[in-house]
Amino acid sequence: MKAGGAGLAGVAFSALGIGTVLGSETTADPGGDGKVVEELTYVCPVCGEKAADFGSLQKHFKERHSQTEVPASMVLHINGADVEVFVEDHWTLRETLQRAVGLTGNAKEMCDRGGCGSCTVLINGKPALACTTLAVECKGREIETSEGIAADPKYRPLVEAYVKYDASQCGYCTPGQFTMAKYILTKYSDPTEEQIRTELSGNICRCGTYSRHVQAIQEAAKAIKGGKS
Amino acid sequence: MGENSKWVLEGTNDDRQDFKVVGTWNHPGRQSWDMVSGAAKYPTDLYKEGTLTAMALRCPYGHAKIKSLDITEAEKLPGVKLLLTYEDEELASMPVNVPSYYELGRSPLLGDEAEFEGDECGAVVVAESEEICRQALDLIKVTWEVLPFVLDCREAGKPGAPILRPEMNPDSNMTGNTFGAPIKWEIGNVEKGFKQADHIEIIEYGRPMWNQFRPMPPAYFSYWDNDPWGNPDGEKMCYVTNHAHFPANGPIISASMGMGVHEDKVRALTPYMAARYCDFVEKRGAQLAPVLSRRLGGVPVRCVSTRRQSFDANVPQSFFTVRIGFKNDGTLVAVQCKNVHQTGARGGYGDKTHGHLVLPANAQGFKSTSCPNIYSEMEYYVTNGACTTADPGKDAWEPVNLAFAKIADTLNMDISEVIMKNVKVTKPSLETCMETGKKAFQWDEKWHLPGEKTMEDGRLHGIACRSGWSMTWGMISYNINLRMNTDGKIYMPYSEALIGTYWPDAVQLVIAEEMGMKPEDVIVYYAANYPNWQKGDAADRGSTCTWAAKEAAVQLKKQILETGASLFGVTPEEVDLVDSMITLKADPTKQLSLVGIGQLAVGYCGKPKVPFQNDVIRTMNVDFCEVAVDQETGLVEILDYCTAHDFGKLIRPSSGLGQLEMALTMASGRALREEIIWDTNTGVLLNGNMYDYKVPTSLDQPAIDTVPVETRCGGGAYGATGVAHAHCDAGLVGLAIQNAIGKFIPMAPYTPDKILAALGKIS
Repeated sequence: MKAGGAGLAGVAFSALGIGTVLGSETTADPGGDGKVVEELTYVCPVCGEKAADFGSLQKHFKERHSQTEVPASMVLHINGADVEVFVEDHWTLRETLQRAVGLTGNAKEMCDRGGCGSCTVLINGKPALACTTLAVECKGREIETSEGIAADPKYRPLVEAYVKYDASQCGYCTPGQFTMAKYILTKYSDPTEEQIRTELSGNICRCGTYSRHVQAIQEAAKAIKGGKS
Repeated sequence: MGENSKWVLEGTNDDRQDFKVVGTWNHPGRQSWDMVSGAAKYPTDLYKEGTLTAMALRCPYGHAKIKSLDITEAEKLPGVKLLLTYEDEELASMPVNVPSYYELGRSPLLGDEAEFEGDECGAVVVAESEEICRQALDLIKVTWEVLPFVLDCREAGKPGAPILRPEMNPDSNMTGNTFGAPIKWEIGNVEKGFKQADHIEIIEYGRPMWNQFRPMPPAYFSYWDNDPWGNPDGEKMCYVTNHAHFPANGPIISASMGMGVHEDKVRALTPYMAARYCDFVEKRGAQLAPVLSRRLGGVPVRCVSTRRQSFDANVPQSFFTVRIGFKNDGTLVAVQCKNVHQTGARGGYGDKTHGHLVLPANAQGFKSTSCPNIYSEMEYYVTNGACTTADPGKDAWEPVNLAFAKIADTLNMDISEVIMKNVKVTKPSLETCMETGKKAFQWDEKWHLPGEKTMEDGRLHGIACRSGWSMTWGMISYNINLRMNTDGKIYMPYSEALIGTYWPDAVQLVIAEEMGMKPEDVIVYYAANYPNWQKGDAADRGSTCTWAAKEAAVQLKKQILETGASLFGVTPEEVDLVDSMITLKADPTKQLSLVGIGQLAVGYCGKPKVPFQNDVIRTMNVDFCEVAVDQETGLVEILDYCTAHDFGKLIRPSSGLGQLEMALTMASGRALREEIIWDTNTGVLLNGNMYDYKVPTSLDQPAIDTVPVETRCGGGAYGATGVAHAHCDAGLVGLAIQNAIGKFIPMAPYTPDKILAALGKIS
C-alpha cells in the first residue's frame, strides 16, 4: 500500500526533535502527549521540503532543483508502508532514510563505514547497517526502523524499559541499539546477559550505557512474555 | 587518618532528612522517549526547505600554508551556490569580541594556514548536496607550502624546534594561556623537605592524545528568518543548532560574536547534540553556517564533517616527572613536579576553540595531600596534529596516586593505607568511601604485594585503588526560573543542550521534593535561549545547578502557601504542600488544589560558595580495579571495577550511577586501547576511524560495581556534588598492572607490547 493508507504503523514525529511533551515521569506515554503521525511524509532529498504525495514531490523537484538531474524513484516498504521515494543508485539506505523519507532515528552516522551500528535497521527481520546497504538493494524487502518499532504496541514494554533505565545518555546511538533490542527479543525469549552483549557488540556507545541495555532488554522480555503488551 | 572536612552549608541545603522523591528510581527523562524512538532530531538530522550543504577545503598535510588557490572551475560546477576563500572580506575580518583569556589563541575563521592534517583551510563551498560540495572541492586547484610540524609536546619544547605560532610567541612554542594558573609555584620548602625524607624516588606518568570521540560528527545547521517578536527594522533572527559543550551559549556566542549581532538575534534550534565530554572545541562550521546562510539570503545551510574529519578534538598529551620524598612510615614530605603539557593546534573557532585553553595539569592534586613541601613547574606547548580540549578526567590526580603506589611499592605497604595516611582531609568522605569500597571490592581478601599472585589459568593477578576528588563546580552562577501556572503545574524552562547527564530531570526531582509536588506536576521544558547557567556548561555543574533550583523552589513554595493560607483563612504556617495539594496541617483531609489559584513566579540566580580548584575538597571517591595479565600475550583483562563515590546526596540514582558507568567505561578504553597515532613522517592521522581507534564495546565493558556514598558535603542541593569528572582516568589500571607484574609502566595505554616489554619478553 502507499504511504497514507489505512493501517500504517505510526511514526514518532517531532518537529526539530522536541515535539513530545512529557509531564509525567511515571506514566509518560509516547502516543499520548507525544505527536504520532500516521502517514509517512515525502521529503525532498535535496532540500528536505515535505510534500503530501509523490506527485507533489516530483513537481517540487522539477521546479526547485531544475539544475539537478532528477533521480530515479522506487518503492520501499518501511514500517509496514509502501513509500515511493527518489533515490539514486549510489545512495545508501541511511542516506535515503534521512534525505528522502525523513526518518532520522536510524539515519545516524557515527562512523560512516559500518563500524558503529548506529544506523542499524531490520531488513526482513535481520539487523542490517543502513550506511553500507544500498537503497536499491532493499526493493521488496521489509524495512523496520526505530520509529516503527517504538510505535508498535507489542514493543511498548521495551520502550518503557529503555526510558526507565536511562539506556540512552546522549542518545545518538540509542535508536540503533533499540532496533537491535527488538531483534534480540525476537531471537531469544529470555535473553541472557552474554547473549545481549554479544548481539550488541557491533553497536558502539561512547556513554557506556551497555549494562543499561542488558537490564532494559531483560525486563522487556519478561513483560512481553507475560503479556503486558 | 587526616583532618575532618569543614564546611558551611549554603542557603536551605541542610534542612531535609526525609525524602519522598529525591533518590528514587523510575523517573524517565524528559527527552528519553524521543531519544529511544529516534524522534529526537540532532543537528545532523535537520533539514528545512531549501537546505544547502557547506563543506570546507581540508589540508592534506601535517602543517601547510596556501600559496595559491584557483576556484574558477569549482565555481562553474552546476549546483554550487557560493564559494568563499580566505580572502573574502567578511571572513577575513572575523573574529571579533573574543573573550579576553583566549586572545593569545585567536585564529581567523578561515585562514590560509592549516595547522594539522584535515584542518579546514582556504575555502568553503555551499552547494545543493554533499556530492556537489565534494566535487567542487576536488576542482579547487591548491598549491600548498608544506611547513614543518611537531606532534609531540616534548619535542615542541626542545631548543631548535620549529616555532609554530610566531605571532603568539616568537621565541618558543610555549603558550601564554594557563587559565590563570601560575607556571611555577611552591608550598613550603621542597629542598628542606627532601632532606627530611628517608626515601627519594622518581615517578613518571605519560599519556598520549586521546580522542574525545563525539558520537555525532560535527554538523551545524543555520538559517535566518523573521524575528518572531518583530522589530521596526526588519532584522532577521539567526537560528543555529546546539552543538557545543557550552550548550545554549556556545552556538549563540559563536554565531553572534563574529557577525556583529547580539545574542537576542540568535536562537538555538534543538537540545540534542550527542555527547561532548568536557569537549570545548567548536568547529568553524559553528560560525560559518550562519555567515554563509546570511550571505545567501537566509537559506538553511548545513556545514558537515565526516567521521574522519572529526578526529580532531582531543584530550591533550601530558607528561609528568615527579620526585617524591617520604618517610619510612609512608608519609609524603616533599614533591617536586614537572609537567609538560600539550595545547595542540588551532582548528576550531568561536568560544574556547583555539586549542589553547587547557585546564593546566600540574601538581595541583598534591595540594590535597598533607605534604608540606610541594614545588610545581609546568610547560605547555602548541603542536600540530589536532586541536585540544579539556580533559573529562583529571590526570593531575594520577601522579598523586602514582606517588602513593610508589611509596607502597617501596615500603611493601598496602596502597589504601598510604592513601589514608597522606590525603589531608579524610573525614567523613574519604574514610567512608574507602571503607565501603574496600568491603564491596573485597579488598582485604584480594590484596597482595606486587607480583606475588598467579591465577589458576596462569595469568598474573593485580589490584589497586586510587582516591579522587568529587568536584562541585561552583565557579559560575546558576539561573533558575520557576512559575506556577493556572493549571497548577510548576514550570521550569531550560535551554542547555543535553549530553546525557539528565540534569534537568534531577532538578525536577529537587523542585518536586522541596515544594511538596508530585514529580509529574513539575514540568521542565526546553526553551531556546533561556540560560540556566551563566556561560556555564553541563556535566558536574548540573549537580550544583540543583542548589539554585532548591533555593527557587523554597521561594515559590512560600508564595503558594501564602496564597493558600488566605484561601483557607489561616496563617501560612498552618498550611503545607502535600502531593501538589495545599493541605491544612491540623486536618490533612482538607486540601486545596493549585489549579486556578493564580499565577506565581520566582527567579533565583546565584552560586554556592564552593571552590573551583581541588585544593579544598569535601566530597571524594575511591576507585578499585582488579586485572589479569597474560604473561605470554601481554593482554590485560579488567576483572572488576568498583567505585565508591560520594555523591553528597544522590538525587537521581539512574543517571548518577550511569555517569559512573560512563566514566569508568571510558577510562577502561583509555587505559587499554585508545591512542591517537600519526605518521611521524607526514603528520597524517593514521587511526581516524572506528576500526583503528578502539572505543570500548559491550563486550569490552568491564564489570562495574557502583557504591554510592552520601555525606551531604557537596555544594549542590542537599549536599549533592559532581560525578563523572573524577573517574575518567586511565592511571588506575596501570597501578593494578604494576601490582600484577611488579613493574611500573610509565605511559598509557597499557597495550600488550608495553606489558611484554615490562616483563622482559620483548625489547
